[in-house]
Amino acid sequence: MNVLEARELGKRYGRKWALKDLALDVPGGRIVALVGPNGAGKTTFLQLAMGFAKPDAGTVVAFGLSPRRDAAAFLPKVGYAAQEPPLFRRFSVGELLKMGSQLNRRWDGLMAVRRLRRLGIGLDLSVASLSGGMRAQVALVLALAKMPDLLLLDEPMASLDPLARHEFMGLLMAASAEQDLTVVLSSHIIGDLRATCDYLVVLTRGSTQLAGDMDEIVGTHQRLVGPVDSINAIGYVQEIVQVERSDRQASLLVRMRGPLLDPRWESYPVDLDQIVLAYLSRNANISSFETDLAAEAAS
Amino acid sequence: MDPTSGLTPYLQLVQQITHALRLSQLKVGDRLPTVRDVAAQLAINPNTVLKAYRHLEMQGLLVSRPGTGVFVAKELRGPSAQDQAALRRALVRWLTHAKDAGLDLESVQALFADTIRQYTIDEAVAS
Amino acid sequence: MIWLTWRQQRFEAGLALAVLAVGVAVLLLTRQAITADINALGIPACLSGRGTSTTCSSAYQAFKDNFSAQQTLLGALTYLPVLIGVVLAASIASEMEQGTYRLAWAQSVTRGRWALTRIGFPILFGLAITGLIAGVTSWWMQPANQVQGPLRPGSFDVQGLLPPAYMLLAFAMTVSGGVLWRRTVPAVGLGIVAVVGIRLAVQAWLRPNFVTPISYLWISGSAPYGAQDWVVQGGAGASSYVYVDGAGRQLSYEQVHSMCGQVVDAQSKDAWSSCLQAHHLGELVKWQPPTRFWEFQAIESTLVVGLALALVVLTVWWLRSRTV
Repeated sequence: MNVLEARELGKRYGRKWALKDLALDVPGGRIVALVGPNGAGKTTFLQLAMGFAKPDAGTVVAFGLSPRRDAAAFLPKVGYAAQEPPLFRRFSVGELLKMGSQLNRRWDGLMAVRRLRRLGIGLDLSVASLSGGMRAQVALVLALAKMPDLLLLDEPMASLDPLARHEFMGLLMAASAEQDLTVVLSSHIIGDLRATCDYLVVLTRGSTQLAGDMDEIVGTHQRLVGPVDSINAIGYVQEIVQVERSDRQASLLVRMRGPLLDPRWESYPVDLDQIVLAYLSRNANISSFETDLAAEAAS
Repeated sequence: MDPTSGLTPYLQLVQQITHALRLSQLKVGDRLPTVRDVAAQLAINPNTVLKAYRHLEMQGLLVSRPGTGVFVAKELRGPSAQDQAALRRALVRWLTHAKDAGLDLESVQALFADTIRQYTIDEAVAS
Repeated sequence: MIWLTWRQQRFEAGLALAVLAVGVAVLLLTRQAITADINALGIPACLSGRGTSTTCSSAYQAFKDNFSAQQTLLGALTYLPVLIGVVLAASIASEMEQGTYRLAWAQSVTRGRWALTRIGFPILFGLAITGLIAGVTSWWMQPANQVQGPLRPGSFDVQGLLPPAYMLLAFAMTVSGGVLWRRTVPAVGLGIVAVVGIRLAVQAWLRPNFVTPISYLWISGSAPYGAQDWVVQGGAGASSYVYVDGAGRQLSYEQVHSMCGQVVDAQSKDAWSSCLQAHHLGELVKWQPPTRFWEFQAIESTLVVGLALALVVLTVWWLRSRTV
């Protein structure tokens, strides 16, 4: 069952379309990694999904509710936190919790206090005195405390050091184990995502390049190394995503659609970074790739 | 978590727990940390932990008692010193074969890693 | 939501309350002195009709001179409501600049409700404070009103409905600037400049004609208007005079001077009047009587509050529909 659905979603700033014809489905109960370069439209998408901005085309709904038209029913179900979260600097952490308890119908204040205690963040600390990592954690605790069914996180760890990122993720994973939660997490740092997310969406220039189960994607993509002159043959069976070639040898990143029978080719596993990179640069390369194929066919 | 091993995270976790059992770091009757705690500590998806625990449960190495937790059920014996020595000799013989066949060191490592990966996956599917 | 609004603005609210306390204290302390001065100058006798015109006019003049010492206080009282409005709204502008409104919008309260509460409560608070200020100031002005009338610029602005009305306008200007541009300092600047500009423009060009003034063709004799009337054109101490001939045509000062100029040079008031009479000329004098005080208050505050409410509605709409 899809928790978040986007259909032909478009958003324009002036004349430039940040998102165009975007289709996206987020299955329930998953932790979804939304990946793409800066300017790909990740922030715009999450803002539209949360109702901060209005679409110029298409729709986005969560649980069948429109974020703006059905705001009163929508808001209690969805939580949000962004990079360098806008917390009231002069408030104490405890006062932030009080705000949450007053502005939300569902609120688990005890759980929030317990989590903050485990993180070593005192309730009487002022927000201005917190480090970037602690602020990100407080924002996450706040978003989780309203017991949302869907959590949207827009690059929440972008300005954190690796240790702070690990702690942030630990908090998110623990919450995912404790609460019924679907998470959409956008990031341009891919390393954090392989072990934590179980669904992947790759976004470039405002539209979806790749979407699917994380293990399945990583499992079915391989790097194949072999002779240059038989790229074509491989292309008939497998789905070639990226080609790198030298004089004699070619290195292909493929999505396996069938068994690899040609002994001249060796296959290596690829990690998530390489897969995403290949898809990100695919658009740029696609025209040159097609001419290459045509040249091969002619020879 | 090793992104280059070609193994899914859950299988890596299975390996790590099995390894701990083999080294007697975990003994029969020991309680494993909760799914939540493992997920929080390692910053990995709780479903991964769940799958790993279930996998080992099906293999009979762990047993879950609802309400109390997951416990070690069976011990794993590691190889004896003689077994290890024999295995090492077999490996050296194999390497010589490979070198005669024309494989260089990198190809050997690639072949080895791929074979291990496939073997582990087949094992998991079979169990 | 109410707690949140209060918590976000408690500094500004405290400041406003402190100012209110200080202002009221000052007013309470100084009123006694004003009444004493009036009695010492013998003005009550003049007001009830006894006393000669010369002694009374010099008494009035003496009071005016003494009362002008309160100018700074009056000036402060005029612009205090504006400052209160701007300060209360600056907090909202700052929230837009820093983006913390998104934190509230990520909870379960809708944008519309957030906007109405976040803007509405400071308005209510500001109205209460400036209403109190206006009340105390009106009471403080009563003695002076009896001598020089409540419609004079300076007096009119600090009494009745105007203080809360201008507070509301200042608030609305600052809040709309802050929401539209998301910058605090320009919004505050805009708020102050716009409100001061509007008030001065209304005072100079609109207020004198809210209701058609009483006009009189004055040639000689004692002034047709009283001390309590607000003279809007001509009269003693005016900056410009309008002269009208027998046919009702308006003459320029040069034309009049060409006819009676040598008399002016001689600086004789009676000679001036006889010269005007001889040429069938008269001075057009217009004024507003003090009985129109509440009418004028109603008209000006409706104008000001109307503009303010329009801005507030625009701001709330913008927050609901366009802000990201």
